Amino acid sequence: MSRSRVAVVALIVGLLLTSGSANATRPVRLTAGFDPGARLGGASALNVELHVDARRRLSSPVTQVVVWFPRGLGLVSSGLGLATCRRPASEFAAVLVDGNPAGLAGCSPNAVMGYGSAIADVRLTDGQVIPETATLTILAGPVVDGRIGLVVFVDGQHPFAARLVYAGELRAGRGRFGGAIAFDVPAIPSIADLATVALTDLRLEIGSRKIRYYAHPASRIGPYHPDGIELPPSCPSRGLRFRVNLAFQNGTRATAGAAARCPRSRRR
Amino acid sequence: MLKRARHHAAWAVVVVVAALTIGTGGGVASPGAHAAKRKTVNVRTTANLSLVKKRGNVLKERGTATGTLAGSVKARFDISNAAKTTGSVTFYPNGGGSLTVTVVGYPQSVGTVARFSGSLAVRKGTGRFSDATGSGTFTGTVNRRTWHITVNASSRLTY
Repeated sequence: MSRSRVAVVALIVGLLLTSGSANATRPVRLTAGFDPGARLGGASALNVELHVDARRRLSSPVTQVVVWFPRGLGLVSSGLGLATCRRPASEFAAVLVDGNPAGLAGCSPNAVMGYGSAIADVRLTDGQVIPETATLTILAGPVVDGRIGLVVFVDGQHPFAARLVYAGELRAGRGRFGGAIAFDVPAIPSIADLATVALTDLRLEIGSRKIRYYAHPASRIGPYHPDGIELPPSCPSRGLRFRVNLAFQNGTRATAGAAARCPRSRRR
Repeated sequence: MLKRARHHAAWAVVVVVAALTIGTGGGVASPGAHAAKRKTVNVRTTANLSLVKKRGNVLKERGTATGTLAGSVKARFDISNAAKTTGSVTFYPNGGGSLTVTVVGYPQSVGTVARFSGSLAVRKGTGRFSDATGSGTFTGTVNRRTWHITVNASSRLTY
C-alpha cells in the first residue's frame, strides 16, 4: 500500500473514531430521517430517534420533549389527523390510566398520526433501576388556543404493562423550523412514593405506513393508508435540520440537533 | 403694429391667468373631491375557493365571492407553519378594480373538514380600490382532502 493510501485510510479511521467518541459523550442524541424510498415533493413517514444518556441524567427524568422540524415539511398539509381524540383532563393529570384500557380507548383510528417506541428507566426508591419498554401511539387532539393538540398513549410492554397518557401539541414554527411536536412527560402522581420513570430512548414514526384510516371510521369501512408528511420540493445541501429541546425535572435543559439526509429528487 | 402687439399681449395674459386659475382650482379641488369620494363601508363577503395547484406547503386557490365584494377570487396560502397559515387573497369584484388582503389564520379544529379563524388587512388595490385601507376578521372551513375552502370575511374598508 502506498504512503498516500495509508494516509487516507488513517484519516478516515481517525475521523470515524472521532465522530464515534463525540456521539458517545453527548448526553442527548437525535437522529431524523425519512422512508428509504422517499422522494422530494412526495410523502413519507418522518422517523425521529432520541437517546438520553441515563448515566449523565440519572438524577433527573425528562419532563418535556420538543422536536422541531424544518419549515418545508408538510405536517398540516398531510392527510394525518382527520379526527380528534379527546381525553378527560383527569387522565392527563393522573398519567397512569386505571383499568389498563387497550387500543385507542374509544378514539377514532383516523386520529392516529404516528407510532413509536420508548425505553424508560423505572427507578425504585430502593435504588433498583428497571428498564421498561413501551409502544407509543400519537393521536391528534383538540385544538386549544389555536394550537393542534396531541394525545400520546404509552403502552408498557415489559416488565410493567401499564398505560400512560400524555398531552402534547403542535407548536408554531419559528425561524427555519416549521413547527414542533411537543409533549409533556410529568411524573406519575400515584407512584411518586415508589418510583420515578426516566425516558432514555424514544423513537417516533409520524405518518407511518402502519397507520390505517377508514372512509367511515365508525363502521371501519373503506380502509386506506393516509399520506404521510409532505416533503419539500427542494432540500438544502446540508440536509433538513431538526432539533430537540428537553426539559428535566431538576430544571435543567438540554438540546441536540440532527440533519436528515435529503431524499432523492423526483426527477432523477 | 403696436396696437396689434398690445392686443396679443392682452390675450396672452388672459389665457395665462385663465390657465393658472383653472390649474389652481383643479389642484385644490381634486384632493377635496377625492376625499369627498372616499367612503368607509362594512364588507361582508363569503368566498368559495377550490384548489388550483398545491406545491409543497403552498396552496393556490381560485373561486367566487358573494356579498359586498361579489366577483371572482384568487388566493395563495402558505401552510408550512404548524400552528398558523399565512397568505394573500385578491378579490376581483364585478364592479371593477381589485383588492388584495393579507391573511393570518389559526386552526380551530382538526378533522377532514377543519375550522379556522383569523384576521386580514388590506395590502393593495387597483382601480377604485387603489388607495384602499382596512382590516377585518374571518372564519371558515377547509376540507383537508380536497382543499376546498369556504370563508366568511367581515371587515371595514375605506376607499
